Amino acid sequence: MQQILPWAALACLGACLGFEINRRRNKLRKVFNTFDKDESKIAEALEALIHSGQLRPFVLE
Amino acid sequence: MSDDPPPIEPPTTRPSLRSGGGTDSPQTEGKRFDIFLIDTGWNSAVSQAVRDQVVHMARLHPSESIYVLSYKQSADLLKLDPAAIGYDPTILVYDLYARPGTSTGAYRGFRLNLGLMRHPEHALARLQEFARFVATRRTAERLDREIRRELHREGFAGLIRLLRESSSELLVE
Repeated sequence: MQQILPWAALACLGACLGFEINRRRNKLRKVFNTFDKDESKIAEALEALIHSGQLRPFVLE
Repeated sequence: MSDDPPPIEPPTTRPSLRSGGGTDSPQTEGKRFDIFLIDTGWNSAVSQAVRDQVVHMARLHPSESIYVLSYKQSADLLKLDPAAIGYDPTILVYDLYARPGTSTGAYRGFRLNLGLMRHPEHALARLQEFARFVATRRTAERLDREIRRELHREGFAGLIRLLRESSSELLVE
């Protein structure tokens, strides 16, 4: 029993650390996200805004 | 006779956002990104802090085009992507070198959801990290890989950074 306890504690610690790392990475992925071709509707809308002249690049004064 | 390479000219026509359209490989000069600020004012403190930095962003990234959408334009856009409601202010970056048929696969760009940050100072810290990332990695061939390694903290060095950072700055759990 005395031999098992330290290993069980270590395994528990490792699992907790893994869970916390995964949780923090998931949060980061929510903040910094890549996007792909499936979001072309948004690209289409942005292009339409630019081409119609409703959206212009920010210009430094 | 000078051995200097000829200067790199920026693109004269505006490439399509959906299909990309820059030259075949990223260059140190010239435009690579179209950057959009989408903001419905949901998170007003962060919103104000981010809007105050648009001038700095424009100065730091003079080669890129920055577009600031109005409230109505932002709301109309979010209707197309309801899952992103409440995540704004969002900085949407279209990578003009990521296009169909290239090695970038499905990747087209990336977004920074600053509306998820609890406090303006946390949002500004992420914005600074983002500005640094765009400035230092703009010549990378596979920017999606850089994003995973640098911003998602993958790899061993990323793991150490991840564990050193505070995890209480986000509104989401």
